[in-house]
Amino acid sequence: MDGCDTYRINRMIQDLNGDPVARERHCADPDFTYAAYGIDAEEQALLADGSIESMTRLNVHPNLQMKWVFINAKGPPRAPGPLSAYRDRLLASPAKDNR
Amino acid sequence: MGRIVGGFATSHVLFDPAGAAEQAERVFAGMMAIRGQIRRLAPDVLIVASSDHLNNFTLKHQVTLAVGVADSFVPLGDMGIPQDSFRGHRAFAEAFARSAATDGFDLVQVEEVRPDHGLMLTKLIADPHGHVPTVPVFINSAMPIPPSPARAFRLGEALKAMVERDRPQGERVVVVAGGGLSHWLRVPSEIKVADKFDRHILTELTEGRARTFAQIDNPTLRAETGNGGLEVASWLFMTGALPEGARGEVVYYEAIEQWESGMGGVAFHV
Repeated sequence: MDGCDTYRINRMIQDLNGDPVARERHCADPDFTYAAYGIDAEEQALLADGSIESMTRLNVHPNLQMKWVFINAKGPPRAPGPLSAYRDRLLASPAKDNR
Repeated sequence: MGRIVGGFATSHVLFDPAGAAEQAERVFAGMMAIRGQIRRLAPDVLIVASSDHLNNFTLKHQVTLAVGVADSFVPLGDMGIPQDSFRGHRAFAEAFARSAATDGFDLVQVEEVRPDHGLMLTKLIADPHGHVPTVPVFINSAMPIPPSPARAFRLGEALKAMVERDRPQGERVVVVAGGGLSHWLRVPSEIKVADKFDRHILTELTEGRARTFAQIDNPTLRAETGNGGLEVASWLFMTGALPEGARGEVVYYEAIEQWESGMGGVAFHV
């Protein structure tokens, strides 16, 4: 693991975050992604662990750590999320807004 | 001349209320109170400032300060936020970029951006149905070298100067900042919420000492509030756009351990 080359891993995650097709392929075949970005076995193990400690060791940006967790949860990364508990009131018609 | 008639700031996340229902409800009520205050100010233009979360501005091109100049924007849709487009304000945004360029800021002008929850939850709190043209301003605190609090404050001053010099007579502008307060996002930390320092920030800003508080450097702010707390820079941008020494009110504050976040909101009527 080369500490001077950590952009490679960050780049992989931000590319996946911005590309639904690549994300889908990654979920089906992570080895393809790892080969494309030159992720070695030690890095793969740390990424698979996904803990804050492991990803900090890889110098993954905190926001990209979050995205990595979402991507590998295999859930739709932009599906309705925690906003759902408030959504109706947040988007209420003006007459219902707090004045 | 135009006039900045109000400044607001609010945290820009909401989480599952389970386990913190009463606090969550107070936070939401605070956000809705901010909405009501903004509506009563009847703004002609909203300036919404927040950090992007490496969705639009990534490590590929590390943009710290940017303004959205497009005629309309489509939200990214993260956090379940609807992807309904909202109006921008090209004339205002370009005037700001032009003015800022003579005032020490080379703002990145952005035509194509899909605002994430940082900007969008703030926008939805302020103007849920897109009635008010909105200029997104990105104070990208998540960048490896983020803008300093002092620089964010100074950019707010540049905005105020532009509004008062270049905008049409009677134009009413409200500035709304999103982000903070303390949270440690995916970094090893013993601390989850810095209740005491959050309250210090709220006091300093609402008692008219924002300029002084903005002298804090990023390493100190990060140590006190976590990497997520750097988003307070957007709040300082907002206070920089207010009259010197403007005093405001704390609308809400909750240290929510379950959310690992200090949640706060402030309001200034000027």
